[in-house]
Amino acid sequence: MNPWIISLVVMLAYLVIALYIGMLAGKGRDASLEEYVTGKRKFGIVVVLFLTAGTWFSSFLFLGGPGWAYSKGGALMFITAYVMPPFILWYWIGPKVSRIGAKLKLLTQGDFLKERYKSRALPVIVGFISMIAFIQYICVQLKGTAYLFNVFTAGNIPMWLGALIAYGIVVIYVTSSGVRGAAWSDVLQGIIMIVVAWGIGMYLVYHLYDGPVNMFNAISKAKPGHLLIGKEGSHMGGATFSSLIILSSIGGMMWPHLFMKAYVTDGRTIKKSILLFPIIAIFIIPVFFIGFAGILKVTPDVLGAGDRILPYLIYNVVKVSPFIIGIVGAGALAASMSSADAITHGAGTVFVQDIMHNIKMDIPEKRLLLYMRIAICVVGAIAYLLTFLSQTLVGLLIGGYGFIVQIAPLIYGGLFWGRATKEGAISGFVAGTAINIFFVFSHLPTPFGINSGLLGLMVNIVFFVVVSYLTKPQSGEHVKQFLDE
Amino acid sequence: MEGKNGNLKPRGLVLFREKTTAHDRKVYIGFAIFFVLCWIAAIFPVAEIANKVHPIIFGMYFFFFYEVMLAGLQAVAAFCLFRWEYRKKSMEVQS
Repeated sequence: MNPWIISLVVMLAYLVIALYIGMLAGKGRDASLEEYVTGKRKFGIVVVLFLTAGTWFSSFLFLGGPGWAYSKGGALMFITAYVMPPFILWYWIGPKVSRIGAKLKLLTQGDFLKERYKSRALPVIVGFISMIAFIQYICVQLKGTAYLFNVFTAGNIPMWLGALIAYGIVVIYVTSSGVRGAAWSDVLQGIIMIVVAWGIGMYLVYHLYDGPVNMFNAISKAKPGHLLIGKEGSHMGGATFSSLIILSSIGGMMWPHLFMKAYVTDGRTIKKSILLFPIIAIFIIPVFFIGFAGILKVTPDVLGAGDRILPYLIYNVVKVSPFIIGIVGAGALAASMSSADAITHGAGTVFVQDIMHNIKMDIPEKRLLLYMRIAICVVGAIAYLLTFLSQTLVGLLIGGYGFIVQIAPLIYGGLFWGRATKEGAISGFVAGTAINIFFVFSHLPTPFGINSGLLGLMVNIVFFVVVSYLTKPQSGEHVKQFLDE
Repeated sequence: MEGKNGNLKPRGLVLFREKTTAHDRKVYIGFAIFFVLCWIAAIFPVAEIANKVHPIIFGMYFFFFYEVMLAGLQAVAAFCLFRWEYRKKSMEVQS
Protein backbone atom coordinates (compact mmCIF):
# COMPACT_ATOMS: atom_id res chain seq x y z
CA MET A 1 0.00 0.00 0.00
CA ASN A 2 1.23 3.49 -0.80
CA PRO A 3 2.52 5.24 2.37
CA TRP A 4 0.39 8.32 1.75
CA ILE A 5 -2.75 6.16 1.77
CA ILE A 6 -1.92 5.00 5.33
CA SER A 7 -1.56 8.65 6.43
CA LEU A 8 -4.80 9.50 4.69
CA VAL A 9 -6.67 6.64 6.37
CA VAL A 10 -5.47 7.79 9.83
CA MET A 11 -6.60 11.37 9.16
CA LEU A 12 -9.94 10.21 7.76
CA ALA A 13 -10.45 7.96 10.82
CA TYR A 14 -9.96 11.00 13.05
CA LEU A 15 -12.43 13.00 10.94
CA VAL A 16 -15.06 10.27 11.19
CA ILE A 17 -14.70 10.15 15.00
CA ALA A 18 -14.93 13.96 15.23
CA LEU A 19 -18.06 13.91 13.07
CA TYR A 20 -19.62 11.15 15.16
CA ILE A 21 -18.97 12.98 18.46
CA GLY A 22 -20.18 16.28 17.03
CA MET A 23 -23.41 14.73 15.76
CA LEU A 24 -23.98 12.67 18.90
CA ALA A 25 -23.66 15.75 21.13
CA GLY A 26 -26.78 17.31 19.67
CA LYS A 27 -28.89 14.16 19.62
CA GLY A 28 -32.15 14.35 21.57
CA ARG A 29 -31.78 18.05 22.42
CA ASP A 30 -34.72 20.39 21.99
CA ALA A 31 -34.82 22.69 19.00
CA SER A 32 -34.62 26.03 20.79
CA LEU A 33 -32.38 29.01 20.12
CA GLU A 34 -31.06 28.94 23.69
CA GLU A 35 -30.02 25.29 23.29
CA TYR A 36 -28.48 25.82 19.85
CA VAL A 37 -26.50 28.94 20.80
CA THR A 38 -25.71 28.51 24.53
CA GLY A 39 -26.37 24.84 25.32
CA LYS A 40 -28.94 26.01 27.89
CA ARG A 41 -26.07 27.74 29.79
CA LYS A 42 -25.17 24.54 31.63
CA PHE A 43 -21.79 23.42 30.29
CA GLY A 44 -19.39 21.93 32.86
CA ILE A 45 -15.76 22.78 33.52
CA VAL A 46 -14.14 20.24 31.17
CA VAL A 47 -16.27 21.22 28.19
CA VAL A 48 -15.88 24.96 28.84
CA LEU A 49 -12.11 24.54 29.18
CA PHE A 50 -11.68 22.62 25.94
CA LEU A 51 -14.23 24.74 24.10
CA THR A 52 -12.30 27.89 25.02
CA ALA A 53 -8.84 26.41 24.53
CA GLY A 54 -9.81 24.60 21.34
CA THR A 55 -11.24 27.79 19.92
CA TRP A 56 -8.24 29.82 21.05
CA PHE A 57 -5.53 27.54 19.67
CA SER A 58 -6.12 27.02 16.01
CA SER A 59 -4.15 26.23 12.87
CA PHE A 60 -2.40 29.56 13.32
CA LEU A 61 -0.64 27.88 16.21
CA PHE A 62 0.03 24.49 14.67
CA LEU A 63 1.17 25.79 11.28
CA GLY A 64 1.52 29.56 11.59
CA GLY A 65 3.32 29.32 14.96
CA PRO A 66 6.12 27.04 13.72
CA GLY A 67 6.07 29.07 10.47
CA TRP A 68 6.79 32.26 12.36
CA ALA A 69 9.39 30.57 14.59
CA TYR A 70 11.12 29.44 11.41
CA SER A 71 10.89 32.62 9.36
CA LYS A 72 10.64 35.41 11.99
CA GLY A 73 12.27 33.83 15.05
CA GLY A 74 11.91 35.93 18.20
CA ALA A 75 8.95 37.88 16.81
CA LEU A 76 6.89 34.81 17.63
CA MET A 77 7.26 35.53 21.34
CA PHE A 78 4.37 37.97 21.06
CA ILE A 79 2.12 34.89 21.09
CA THR A 80 3.67 33.73 24.38
CA ALA A 81 3.27 37.21 25.83
CA TYR A 82 -0.44 37.40 25.07
CA VAL A 83 -1.42 33.91 26.17
CA MET A 84 -2.53 35.01 29.65
CA PRO A 85 -3.59 38.70 29.52
CA PRO A 86 -6.88 38.16 27.61
CA PHE A 87 -7.83 35.48 30.12
CA ILE A 88 -6.96 37.69 33.09
CA LEU A 89 -9.31 40.30 31.61
CA TRP A 90 -11.85 37.52 31.03
CA TYR A 91 -11.55 36.47 34.70
CA TRP A 92 -12.67 40.01 35.48
CA ILE A 93 -15.49 40.46 32.96
CA GLY A 94 -16.51 36.90 31.96
CA PRO A 95 -18.53 36.07 35.10
CA LYS A 96 -20.20 39.49 34.94
CA VAL A 97 -21.18 38.97 31.30
CA SER A 98 -22.44 35.48 32.19
CA ARG A 99 -24.71 36.83 34.97
CA ILE A 100 -26.06 39.61 32.76
CA GLY A 101 -26.62 37.12 29.94
CA ALA A 102 -28.57 34.72 32.15
CA LYS A 103 -30.66 37.54 33.63
CA LEU A 104 -31.53 39.20 30.32
CA LYS A 105 -31.57 35.98 28.24
CA LEU A 106 -28.80 37.19 25.94
CA LEU A 107 -27.43 34.92 23.22
CA THR A 108 -24.74 36.93 21.45
CA GLN A 109 -22.32 39.80 21.88
CA GLY A 110 -24.67 41.89 19.73
CA ASP A 111 -27.51 41.15 22.17
CA PHE A 112 -25.35 42.57 24.95
CA LEU A 113 -24.61 45.74 22.96
CA LYS A 114 -28.27 46.12 21.97
CA GLU A 115 -29.48 45.87 25.56
CA ARG A 116 -26.73 47.97 27.11
CA TYR A 117 -26.85 50.82 24.61
CA LYS A 118 -30.54 50.44 23.69
CA SER A 119 -29.66 50.39 20.03
CA ARG A 120 -30.65 48.04 17.24
CA ALA A 121 -28.21 49.72 14.86
CA LEU A 122 -25.14 48.95 16.97
CA PRO A 123 -25.34 45.12 16.80
CA VAL A 124 -25.98 45.37 13.06
CA ILE A 125 -22.88 47.54 12.48
CA VAL A 126 -20.69 45.48 14.79
CA GLY A 127 -22.15 42.29 13.29
CA PHE A 128 -21.15 43.27 9.75
CA ILE A 129 -17.58 44.05 10.75
CA SER A 130 -17.44 40.86 12.82
CA MET A 131 -18.52 38.87 9.77
CA ILE A 132 -15.54 40.23 7.82
CA ALA A 133 -13.20 39.24 10.66
CA PHE A 134 -14.90 35.86 11.05
CA ILE A 135 -14.45 35.02 7.40
CA GLN A 136 -10.78 36.02 7.59
CA TYR A 137 -10.42 33.77 10.62
CA ILE A 138 -12.17 30.82 8.98
CA CYS A 139 -9.85 31.27 5.99
CA VAL A 140 -6.91 30.81 8.39
CA GLN A 141 -8.29 27.44 9.45
CA LEU A 142 -9.18 26.35 5.93
CA LYS A 143 -5.83 27.29 4.55
CA GLY A 144 -4.17 25.25 7.28
CA THR A 145 -6.39 22.27 6.57
CA ALA A 146 -5.68 22.47 2.87
CA TYR A 147 -1.89 22.51 3.41
CA LEU A 148 -2.10 19.54 5.72
CA PHE A 149 -4.07 17.28 3.47
CA ASN A 150 -1.94 18.20 0.50
CA VAL A 151 1.47 17.70 2.11
CA PHE A 152 0.63 14.69 4.31
CA THR A 153 -0.74 12.80 1.34
CA ALA A 154 2.32 13.60 -0.80
CA GLY A 155 0.26 15.96 -2.95
CA ASN A 156 -2.32 13.32 -3.84
CA ILE A 157 -5.20 15.15 -2.21
CA PRO A 158 -5.43 18.61 -3.81
CA MET A 159 -5.75 21.67 -1.56
CA TRP A 160 -9.35 22.32 -2.54
CA LEU A 161 -10.43 18.77 -1.70
CA GLY A 162 -8.63 18.59 1.66
CA ALA A 163 -10.25 21.81 2.84
CA LEU A 164 -13.60 20.66 1.52
CA ILE A 165 -13.51 17.31 3.37
CA ALA A 166 -12.43 18.67 6.77
CA TYR A 167 -14.48 21.84 6.73
CA GLY A 168 -17.47 20.04 5.26
CA ILE A 169 -17.48 17.81 8.34
CA VAL A 170 -17.28 20.86 10.62
CA VAL A 171 -20.21 22.50 8.86
CA ILE A 172 -22.26 19.30 9.11
CA TYR A 173 -21.89 18.82 12.87
CA VAL A 174 -22.17 22.52 13.72
CA THR A 175 -25.30 22.91 11.58
CA SER A 176 -26.80 19.84 13.18
CA SER A 177 -25.77 20.16 16.86
CA GLY A 178 -24.97 23.85 17.38
CA VAL A 179 -22.64 24.87 20.20
CA ARG A 180 -22.95 21.44 21.83
CA GLY A 181 -21.49 19.76 18.75
CA ALA A 182 -18.62 22.26 18.66
CA ALA A 183 -17.98 21.85 22.38
CA TRP A 184 -17.83 18.05 22.56
CA SER A 185 -15.79 17.69 19.39
CA ASP A 186 -13.42 20.31 20.87
CA VAL A 187 -12.79 18.02 23.84
CA LEU A 188 -11.59 15.29 21.47
CA GLN A 189 -9.70 17.75 19.28
CA GLY A 190 -8.07 19.48 22.27
CA ILE A 191 -6.71 16.21 23.66
CA ILE A 192 -5.38 15.10 20.27
CA MET A 193 -3.66 18.40 19.49
CA ILE A 194 -1.94 18.58 22.89
CA VAL A 195 -0.63 15.00 22.73
CA VAL A 196 0.57 15.44 19.15
CA ALA A 197 2.19 18.83 19.83
CA TRP A 198 4.25 17.53 22.74
CA GLY A 199 5.12 14.34 20.90
CA ILE A 200 6.26 15.80 17.59
CA GLY A 201 7.82 18.97 19.08
CA MET A 202 10.08 17.12 21.48
CA TYR A 203 10.83 14.37 18.97
CA LEU A 204 12.05 16.84 16.35
CA VAL A 205 14.25 18.77 18.76
CA TYR A 206 15.90 15.66 20.23
CA HIS A 207 16.17 13.88 16.90
CA LEU A 208 17.70 16.81 15.03
CA TYR A 209 19.73 18.56 17.77
CA ASP A 210 19.92 16.23 20.74
CA GLY A 211 17.91 18.71 22.82
CA PRO A 212 16.71 22.33 22.86
CA VAL A 213 19.89 23.74 24.46
CA ASN A 214 22.01 22.57 21.52
CA MET A 215 19.38 23.81 19.10
CA PHE A 216 19.25 27.36 20.48
CA ASN A 217 23.05 27.54 20.79
CA ALA A 218 23.39 26.49 17.15
CA ILE A 219 20.76 29.00 15.95
CA SER A 220 22.24 31.90 17.90
CA LYS A 221 25.69 31.09 16.53
CA ALA A 222 24.52 30.88 12.91
CA LYS A 223 21.92 33.68 13.03
CA PRO A 224 22.66 35.89 16.06
CA GLY A 225 19.68 38.29 15.81
CA HIS A 226 17.07 35.80 14.63
CA LEU A 227 15.82 34.83 18.08
CA LEU A 228 15.60 38.40 19.37
CA ILE A 229 13.66 41.63 18.87
CA GLY A 230 15.02 44.85 17.36
CA LYS A 231 18.59 43.59 16.87
CA GLU A 232 20.60 43.18 13.69
CA GLY A 233 19.16 40.14 11.92
CA SER A 234 15.86 40.34 13.86
CA HIS A 235 12.58 40.33 11.97
CA MET A 236 10.59 42.73 14.14
CA GLY A 237 11.16 45.94 16.08
CA GLY A 238 10.14 46.58 19.69
CA ALA A 239 7.23 48.92 18.78
CA THR A 240 5.60 46.44 16.41
CA PHE A 241 6.15 43.58 18.85
CA SER A 242 4.63 45.53 21.73
CA SER A 243 1.68 46.84 19.74
CA LEU A 244 0.84 43.28 18.64
CA ILE A 245 0.78 42.18 22.29
CA ILE A 246 -1.40 45.12 23.33
CA LEU A 247 -3.76 44.57 20.38
CA SER A 248 -4.09 40.84 20.96
CA SER A 249 -4.42 41.14 24.75
CA ILE A 250 -7.27 43.64 24.53
CA GLY A 251 -8.91 42.10 21.47
CA GLY A 252 -8.46 38.44 22.42
CA MET A 253 -11.73 37.78 24.17
CA MET A 254 -13.63 40.34 22.11
CA TRP A 255 -14.09 37.88 19.27
CA PRO A 256 -17.86 37.41 19.26
CA HIS A 257 -17.60 33.60 19.22
CA LEU A 258 -15.35 33.66 22.30
CA PHE A 259 -17.39 36.34 24.06
CA MET A 260 -20.50 34.20 23.57
CA LYS A 261 -18.86 31.45 25.62
CA ALA A 262 -19.70 33.49 28.70
CA TYR A 263 -23.31 32.49 28.09
CA VAL A 264 -22.70 28.72 28.03
CA THR A 265 -22.01 28.43 31.76
CA ASP A 266 -21.91 30.28 35.10
CA GLY A 267 -19.29 32.70 36.43
CA ARG A 268 -17.60 30.24 38.76
CA THR A 269 -17.02 27.70 35.97
CA ILE A 270 -15.56 30.46 33.78
CA LYS A 271 -13.06 31.33 36.52
CA LYS A 272 -12.11 27.68 37.06
CA SER A 273 -11.58 27.16 33.32
CA ILE A 274 -9.21 30.15 33.29
CA LEU A 275 -7.19 28.65 36.13
CA LEU A 276 -6.83 25.38 34.21
CA PHE A 277 -6.12 27.06 30.88
CA PRO A 278 -2.31 27.37 31.41
CA ILE A 279 -2.03 23.57 31.68
CA ILE A 280 -3.22 23.39 28.09
CA ALA A 281 -1.53 26.60 26.95
CA ILE A 282 1.92 25.36 27.85
CA PHE A 283 1.80 23.18 24.75
CA ILE A 284 2.80 26.23 22.72
CA ILE A 285 6.37 25.52 23.83
CA PRO A 286 6.84 22.28 21.85
CA VAL A 287 4.85 23.78 18.97
CA PHE A 288 7.34 26.64 18.72
CA PHE A 289 10.23 24.17 18.98
CA ILE A 290 9.02 22.66 15.70
CA GLY A 291 9.66 25.91 13.82
CA PHE A 292 12.96 26.62 15.56
CA ALA A 293 14.10 23.09 14.72
CA GLY A 294 13.69 23.84 11.02
CA ILE A 295 15.81 27.01 10.91
CA LEU A 296 19.16 25.31 10.28
CA LYS A 297 17.75 22.28 8.50
CA VAL A 298 15.63 23.76 5.71
CA THR A 299 16.47 26.72 3.49
CA PRO A 300 13.64 29.20 2.80
CA ASP A 301 13.89 28.85 -1.00
CA VAL A 302 13.18 25.10 -0.72
CA LEU A 303 10.26 25.60 1.65
CA GLY A 304 8.34 28.46 0.03
CA ALA A 305 5.93 29.70 2.74
CA GLY A 306 7.14 29.38 6.36
CA ASP A 307 3.79 27.85 7.35
CA ARG A 308 4.83 24.63 5.61
CA ILE A 309 7.70 23.92 7.99
CA LEU A 310 5.93 21.29 10.14
CA PRO A 311 4.73 19.13 7.25
CA TYR A 312 8.03 19.62 5.45
CA LEU A 313 10.13 18.54 8.43
CA ILE A 314 8.25 15.37 9.18
CA TYR A 315 7.82 14.42 5.53
CA ASN A 316 11.22 15.29 4.11
CA VAL A 317 13.73 15.69 6.95
CA VAL A 318 13.00 13.17 9.70
CA LYS A 319 11.00 10.78 7.51
CA VAL A 320 8.79 9.15 10.15
CA SER A 321 6.38 6.31 9.35
CA PRO A 322 3.22 7.10 7.37
CA PHE A 323 1.13 6.16 10.40
CA ILE A 324 2.88 8.81 12.53
CA ILE A 325 2.47 11.32 9.69
CA GLY A 326 -1.23 10.56 9.77
CA ILE A 327 -1.35 11.08 13.56
CA VAL A 328 0.44 14.43 13.25
CA GLY A 329 -1.94 15.35 10.46
CA ALA A 330 -4.87 14.48 12.71
CA GLY A 331 -3.42 16.67 15.50
CA ALA A 332 -3.01 19.63 13.19
CA LEU A 333 -6.46 19.06 11.69
CA ALA A 334 -7.84 18.99 15.25
CA ALA A 335 -6.31 22.40 15.91
CA SER A 336 -7.86 23.83 12.74
CA MET A 337 -11.26 22.25 13.22
CA SER A 338 -11.62 23.11 16.91
CA SER A 339 -11.45 26.78 15.98
CA ALA A 340 -13.35 26.49 12.71
CA ASP A 341 -16.39 24.95 14.41
CA ALA A 342 -16.74 27.67 17.05
CA ILE A 343 -16.12 30.47 14.56
CA THR A 344 -18.53 29.06 12.00
CA HIS A 345 -21.17 28.61 14.69
CA GLY A 346 -20.47 32.17 15.88
CA ALA A 347 -20.67 33.58 12.36
CA GLY A 348 -24.03 31.95 11.63
CA THR A 349 -25.41 33.09 14.97
CA VAL A 350 -24.15 36.66 14.61
CA PHE A 351 -25.52 36.97 11.09
CA VAL A 352 -29.01 35.87 12.07
CA GLN A 353 -29.36 37.09 15.66
CA ASP A 354 -27.39 40.35 15.44
CA ILE A 355 -27.90 41.43 11.84
CA MET A 356 -31.01 39.83 10.40
CA HIS A 357 -33.09 39.82 13.58
CA ASN A 358 -32.38 43.49 14.30
CA ILE A 359 -33.34 44.53 10.79
CA LYS A 360 -36.54 42.46 10.81
CA MET A 361 -37.73 41.95 14.39
CA ASP A 362 -40.79 39.73 13.92
CA ILE A 363 -39.13 36.44 12.98
CA PRO A 364 -40.45 33.43 14.93
CA GLU A 365 -37.87 31.44 16.94
CA LYS A 366 -38.17 28.30 14.81
CA ARG A 367 -37.54 30.33 11.68
CA LEU A 368 -34.53 32.01 13.31
CA LEU A 369 -33.05 28.62 14.09
CA LEU A 370 -33.53 27.50 10.51
CA TYR A 371 -31.92 30.71 9.22
CA MET A 372 -28.98 30.16 11.58
CA ARG A 373 -28.37 26.71 10.14
CA ILE A 374 -28.58 28.06 6.59
CA ALA A 375 -26.28 30.98 7.48
CA ILE A 376 -23.65 28.57 8.83
CA CYS A 377 -23.60 26.75 5.48
CA VAL A 378 -23.49 30.00 3.48
CA VAL A 379 -20.72 31.54 5.59
CA GLY A 380 -18.81 28.28 5.24
CA ALA A 381 -19.17 28.34 1.47
CA ILE A 382 -18.04 31.98 1.19
CA ALA A 383 -15.01 31.41 3.42
CA TYR A 384 -14.14 28.32 1.43
CA LEU A 385 -14.14 30.25 -1.84
CA LEU A 386 -12.04 33.07 -0.39
CA THR A 387 -9.50 30.80 1.28
CA PHE A 388 -6.96 30.47 -1.44
CA LEU A 389 -6.56 34.18 -2.15
CA SER A 390 -4.45 35.57 0.71
CA GLN A 391 -1.38 35.97 2.93
CA THR A 392 0.26 33.71 5.53
CA LEU A 393 -1.69 32.32 8.48
CA VAL A 394 -0.61 34.63 11.30
CA GLY A 395 -0.88 37.61 8.93
CA LEU A 396 -4.49 36.68 8.27
CA LEU A 397 -5.22 36.39 11.96
CA ILE A 398 -3.70 39.74 12.85
CA GLY A 399 -5.79 41.30 10.07
CA GLY A 400 -8.91 40.05 11.85
CA TYR A 401 -7.74 41.34 15.23
CA GLY A 402 -7.57 44.90 13.90
CA PHE A 403 -11.32 44.85 13.40
CA ILE A 404 -12.28 42.88 16.49
CA VAL A 405 -10.30 45.01 18.93
CA GLN A 406 -12.59 47.94 18.03
CA ILE A 407 -15.38 46.19 19.98
CA ALA A 408 -13.37 46.37 23.24
CA PRO A 409 -14.23 49.96 24.29
CA LEU A 410 -17.93 49.24 23.75
CA ILE A 411 -17.82 46.17 25.99
CA TYR A 412 -15.62 47.62 28.74
CA GLY A 413 -17.46 50.95 28.60
CA GLY A 414 -20.77 49.09 28.75
CA LEU A 415 -19.71 47.12 31.81
CA PHE A 416 -17.85 49.76 33.79
CA TRP A 417 -18.65 53.27 32.58
CA GLY A 418 -22.03 54.77 33.44
CA ARG A 419 -21.63 57.72 31.10
CA ALA A 420 -21.21 55.57 27.95
CA THR A 421 -23.92 56.29 25.38
CA LYS A 422 -25.19 54.75 22.18
CA GLU A 423 -23.91 57.65 20.09
CA GLY A 424 -20.46 57.43 21.67
CA ALA A 425 -20.29 53.69 21.07
CA ILE A 426 -21.34 53.91 17.42
CA SER A 427 -19.08 56.85 16.55
CA GLY A 428 -16.08 55.30 18.32
CA PHE A 429 -16.53 51.94 16.63
CA VAL A 430 -17.02 53.45 13.18
CA ALA A 431 -14.03 55.81 13.53
CA GLY A 432 -11.71 53.07 14.83
CA THR A 433 -12.75 50.65 12.11
CA ALA A 434 -12.31 53.33 9.42
CA ILE A 435 -8.74 54.02 10.57
CA ASN A 436 -7.93 50.32 10.53
CA ILE A 437 -9.44 49.83 7.08
CA PHE A 438 -7.57 52.88 5.75
CA PHE A 439 -4.15 51.55 6.77
CA VAL A 440 -4.90 47.94 5.84
CA PHE A 441 -6.05 48.76 2.30
CA SER A 442 -3.81 51.77 1.54
CA HIS A 443 -0.70 49.81 2.59
CA LEU A 444 0.71 53.08 3.93
CA PRO A 445 3.22 52.71 6.78
CA THR A 446 1.77 53.41 10.23
CA PRO A 447 3.53 55.82 12.62
CA PHE A 448 6.40 54.03 14.46
CA GLY A 449 5.30 50.69 12.97
CA ILE A 450 2.34 50.50 15.38
CA ASN A 451 -0.35 48.05 14.30
CA SER A 452 -3.20 49.74 12.40
CA GLY A 453 -5.80 48.09 14.65
CA LEU A 454 -4.16 49.66 17.68
CA LEU A 455 -4.15 53.09 16.01
CA GLY A 456 -7.83 52.60 15.27
CA LEU A 457 -8.42 51.65 18.90
CA MET A 458 -6.87 54.90 20.13
CA VAL A 459 -9.11 56.96 17.82
CA ASN A 460 -12.07 54.78 18.81
CA ILE A 461 -11.58 55.51 22.53
CA VAL A 462 -11.27 59.27 21.95
CA PHE A 463 -14.51 59.36 19.91
CA PHE A 464 -16.29 57.06 22.37
CA VAL A 465 -15.46 59.24 25.39
CA VAL A 466 -15.93 62.66 23.77
CA VAL A 467 -19.22 61.84 21.98
CA SER A 468 -20.58 60.09 25.09
CA TYR A 469 -19.99 63.25 27.13
CA LEU A 470 -21.61 65.37 24.43
CA THR A 471 -24.79 63.27 24.24
CA LYS A 472 -27.65 62.56 26.62
CA PRO A 473 -26.78 59.98 29.30
CA GLN A 474 -28.81 56.80 29.67
CA SER A 475 -31.05 56.38 32.70
CA GLY A 476 -29.26 55.33 35.88
CA GLU A 477 -31.80 52.60 36.48
CA HIS A 478 -30.92 51.01 33.14
CA VAL A 479 -27.17 51.44 33.47
CA LYS A 480 -27.08 50.03 37.00
CA GLN A 481 -28.14 46.55 35.91
CA PHE A 482 -24.94 46.32 33.83
CA LEU A 483 -22.51 48.17 36.10
CA ASP A 484 -23.49 46.66 39.42
CA GLU A 485 -24.01 43.07 38.27
CA MET B 1 -25.93 57.30 43.59
CA GLU B 2 -29.52 58.45 44.24
CA GLY B 3 -30.73 61.46 42.20
CA LYS B 4 -32.99 64.26 43.46
CA ASN B 5 -36.16 62.51 42.37
CA GLY B 6 -35.05 59.14 43.69
CA ASN B 7 -33.84 57.90 40.30
CA LEU B 8 -30.38 56.44 40.05
CA LYS B 9 -27.90 58.79 38.39
CA PRO B 10 -25.70 57.61 35.55
CA ARG B 11 -22.30 57.23 37.12
CA GLY B 12 -18.65 57.47 36.08
CA LEU B 13 -16.31 54.52 36.22
CA VAL B 14 -17.67 51.69 38.36
CA LEU B 15 -15.06 48.97 38.78
CA PHE B 16 -16.62 47.18 41.75
CA ARG B 17 -20.07 46.09 42.78
CA GLU B 18 -21.68 48.22 45.48
CA LYS B 19 -21.43 45.50 48.10
CA THR B 20 -17.66 45.09 47.68
CA THR B 21 -15.99 46.18 50.95
CA ALA B 22 -13.10 48.66 51.15
CA HIS B 23 -10.70 45.87 52.16
CA ASP B 24 -11.72 43.67 49.26
CA ARG B 25 -11.31 46.56 46.86
CA LYS B 26 -7.73 47.00 48.05
CA VAL B 27 -7.02 43.30 47.46
CA TYR B 28 -8.49 43.44 43.96
CA ILE B 29 -6.52 46.58 43.14
CA GLY B 30 -3.34 44.88 44.41
CA PHE B 31 -3.89 41.93 42.10
CA ALA B 32 -4.75 44.26 39.21
CA ILE B 33 -1.50 46.18 39.69
CA PHE B 34 0.43 42.91 39.67
CA PHE B 35 -1.21 41.80 36.42
CA VAL B 36 -0.55 45.16 34.78
CA LEU B 37 3.10 45.05 35.86
CA CYS B 38 3.49 41.57 34.32
CA TRP B 39 1.91 42.87 31.13
CA ILE B 40 4.19 45.92 30.98
CA ALA B 41 7.20 43.72 31.67
CA ALA B 42 6.32 41.62 28.61
CA ILE B 43 6.48 44.57 26.19
CA PHE B 44 9.21 46.95 25.11
CA PRO B 45 11.09 48.92 26.34
CA VAL B 46 10.94 46.95 29.64
CA ALA B 47 11.32 43.60 27.86
CA GLU B 48 14.68 44.83 26.50
CA ILE B 49 16.30 43.63 29.76
CA ALA B 50 15.50 40.04 28.72
CA ASN B 51 16.14 40.41 25.00
CA LYS B 52 19.04 37.95 24.84
CA VAL B 53 19.68 34.28 24.10
CA HIS B 54 21.72 33.25 27.14
CA PRO B 55 21.31 31.81 29.68
CA ILE B 56 19.15 29.01 28.31
CA ILE B 57 16.73 27.92 31.06
CA PHE B 58 14.51 24.81 31.02
CA GLY B 59 15.40 24.33 27.37
CA MET B 60 14.23 27.80 26.38
CA TYR B 61 16.51 30.65 25.31
CA PHE B 62 16.33 33.53 27.74
CA PHE B 63 13.81 35.81 25.99
CA PHE B 64 11.52 32.82 25.40
CA PHE B 65 11.85 31.74 29.05
CA TYR B 66 11.19 35.33 30.21
CA GLU B 67 7.89 35.59 28.32
CA VAL B 68 6.80 32.11 29.49
CA MET B 69 7.76 33.01 33.07
CA LEU B 70 5.61 36.16 32.98
CA ALA B 71 2.66 34.12 31.70
CA GLY B 72 3.30 31.60 34.50
CA LEU B 73 3.37 34.34 37.14
CA GLN B 74 0.03 35.62 35.92
CA ALA B 75 -1.42 32.11 36.07
CA VAL B 76 -0.19 31.65 39.66
CA ALA B 77 -1.57 35.04 40.66
CA ALA B 78 -4.94 34.18 39.12
CA PHE B 79 -4.98 30.96 41.15
CA CYS B 80 -4.19 32.92 44.37
CA LEU B 81 -6.97 35.38 43.56
CA PHE B 82 -9.44 32.56 43.05
CA ARG B 83 -8.40 30.89 46.34
CA TRP B 84 -8.81 34.18 48.18
CA GLU B 85 -12.26 34.73 46.69
CA TYR B 86 -13.26 31.15 47.53
CA ARG B 87 -12.13 31.44 51.17
CA LYS B 88 -13.84 34.82 51.52
CA LYS B 89 -17.09 33.35 50.23
CA SER B 90 -16.80 30.31 52.53
CA MET B 91 -16.30 32.61 55.55
CA GLU B 92 -19.26 34.74 54.51
CA VAL B 93 -21.46 31.64 54.30
CA GLN B 94 -20.29 30.42 57.73
CA SER B 95 -20.92 33.75 59.40
